[in-house]
Amino acid sequence: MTRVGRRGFVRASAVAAAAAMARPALAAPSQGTSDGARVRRLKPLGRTGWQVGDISAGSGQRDPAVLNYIFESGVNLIDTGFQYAGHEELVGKVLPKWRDRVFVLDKWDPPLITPTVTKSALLEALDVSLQRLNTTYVDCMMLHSIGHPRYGGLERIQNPAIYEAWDEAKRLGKVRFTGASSHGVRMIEDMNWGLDNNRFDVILIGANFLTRGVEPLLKKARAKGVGTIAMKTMTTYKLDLNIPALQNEQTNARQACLKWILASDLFDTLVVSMPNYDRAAEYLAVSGTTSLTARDERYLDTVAAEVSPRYCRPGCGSCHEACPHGVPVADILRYKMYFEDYGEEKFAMQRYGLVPASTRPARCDGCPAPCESACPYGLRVRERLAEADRQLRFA
Amino acid sequence: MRSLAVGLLMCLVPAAGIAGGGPGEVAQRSVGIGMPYSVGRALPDRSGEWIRAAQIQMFNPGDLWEHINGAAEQFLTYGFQDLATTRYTSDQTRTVVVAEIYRMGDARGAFGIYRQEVSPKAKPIALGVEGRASSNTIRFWLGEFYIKLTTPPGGGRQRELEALGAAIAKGLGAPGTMPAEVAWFPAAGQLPDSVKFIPADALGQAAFTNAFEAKYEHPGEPATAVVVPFDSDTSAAAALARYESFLAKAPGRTKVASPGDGGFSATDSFQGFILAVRAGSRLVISVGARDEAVARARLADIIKRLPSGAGAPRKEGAS
Repeated sequence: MTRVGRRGFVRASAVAAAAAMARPALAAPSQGTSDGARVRRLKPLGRTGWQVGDISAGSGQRDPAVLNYIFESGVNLIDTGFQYAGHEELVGKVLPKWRDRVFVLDKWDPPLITPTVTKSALLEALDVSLQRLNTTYVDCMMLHSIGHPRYGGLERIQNPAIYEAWDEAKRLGKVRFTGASSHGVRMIEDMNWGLDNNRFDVILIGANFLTRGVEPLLKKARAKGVGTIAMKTMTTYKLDLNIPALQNEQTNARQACLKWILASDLFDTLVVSMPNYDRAAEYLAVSGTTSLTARDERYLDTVAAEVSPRYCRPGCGSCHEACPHGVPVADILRYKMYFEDYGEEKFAMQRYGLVPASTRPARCDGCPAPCESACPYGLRVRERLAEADRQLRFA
Repeated sequence: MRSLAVGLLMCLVPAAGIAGGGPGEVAQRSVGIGMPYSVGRALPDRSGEWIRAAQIQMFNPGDLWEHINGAAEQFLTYGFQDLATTRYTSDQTRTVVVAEIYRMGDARGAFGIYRQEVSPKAKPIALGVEGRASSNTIRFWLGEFYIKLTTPPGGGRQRELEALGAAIAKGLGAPGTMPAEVAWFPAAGQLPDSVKFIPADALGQAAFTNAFEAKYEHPGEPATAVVVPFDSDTSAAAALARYESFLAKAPGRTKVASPGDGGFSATDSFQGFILAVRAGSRLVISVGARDEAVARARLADIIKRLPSGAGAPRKEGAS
């Protein structure tokens, strides 16, 4: 299967890479199973002035020694957040040693960001995070999970108190830059609002070799000097791709997913969960990549063949918006996935039971299926909805 | 894979019941007893001043990230099964509370995620097997459930929150007891409530799963003691050898004949002095103790407390 737009999206610009390349002058890790795997390429993080390693750390560590090893390996951006239980505190155990060499990206708890949250509540929450992080400032304070209907609509991030709090925090020296993260269905819409209104210095978005439609957003960010970071780089939520066709080549496939981001000139860095030494070494081994090999392409093809037919990409709600009857297309297809792929029949049927009868696929009879023409990935939406209805409906 | 028959049976449960929109729908919330999703029944429509003000939503391992984003990863490693959550408002103060009941599969998972999330600085409360309250959150666990009640910052109302917590706990059955592994760690010098269940990647080692650890504090000597179970003596010996190999660059690496079946010691630049020994099918490791004699004595004490036989079976959900 050809991934539409993938090759067009990847711009492995050797010239740009060479210009941006610099070697971190850090000592080799003191321990580890890696054979010297470390960050091998630095890029400017937007207008922040920070030269960020092409691979950055997500919040998966449970042991501070692992995070210390990751920093020793040249990783110089850590993505954390209030919501990641205990992770801010874990960062706080390591950070004092690295404070001026590591860019700390922190995020407010998503439910805190509402249309009515006050400046003082936001500043209070920031102080709690600073205390946990064992530092006096964070390099970037983000709105966590914007564009996610669960937490509210665009009005949530249009609350002026947020920007007053950011301004105050910057004035107090507690925050250097600001931004937002998203992998929700309204990711592009909400991120665009933030960029158009010059609210963000850095954006962290769900993006991988299967996503499409984020290029304009990234280009806009580039044009404005906004730093761009990819997350959810391996398509599936689980750490392991767990694709039978890959057999013993999961490592290669995971690395190919990372390399696809590394080969794009639209991302400054990516964040990936590194819970242990082995996984950190595995990921760091591909740092410095600027292009994909034919072998990488084959691994991505294998992952795409497995995942693509049912993978609703971050930021895509095209089908839902196209439906004239309000059928929650993406939700129902997800329940179908639970039923078929996760062995979660009960749960899938229970969730489907919550869909009002008035917006179930019975409404699809006689419909010209604008959802199908709207789906950028060519899914046979109507057929799959009908299948889902048969599988999930108890009658 | 769960059977389709069970799946179909589940559908006898009125969906609108689980997702009842408010207290007026009490009659519809007759969810089947004994079914996993009956956990939603423990969320009362009304308790004291608290009135349920939203649908009860359910999440499972496939979509927990929709509720808690990247934090879901950690819950999955602790064996997360499903979550029932809703919102309450006070009819007196309009304070909003988000109530969450996480079903973790067993007491070890509930204990584990609770100890991972709770701040030791939070005030102990008498809910469940153990619980604590901070300025705007109360957390407790009982049986296989981890319960969290959260108000916005500055929300206060702790006593009333505890009353709501008690009402929820009542619907979740017998509280159960602490995991037996907690008793493996001697109390002398142990930081209160510092025993934790580490389902995966203990000490950053991919092979160290289902471990328990405790923190110790003697003057100037913070240290961690870790017990990692394996399915056989041979597996434990192999894991010890790999761990020693991992620390090959550490200075002062020395074989030791005891305690237990012996192992090695080394000094890591970040973690400090490490003493790692095997005791049958388990590895017992001290990290950070400055005094080797203290580390030896502590590990020997732990080994005395370990039950005979192989370590606990691998917990489902650990990666």
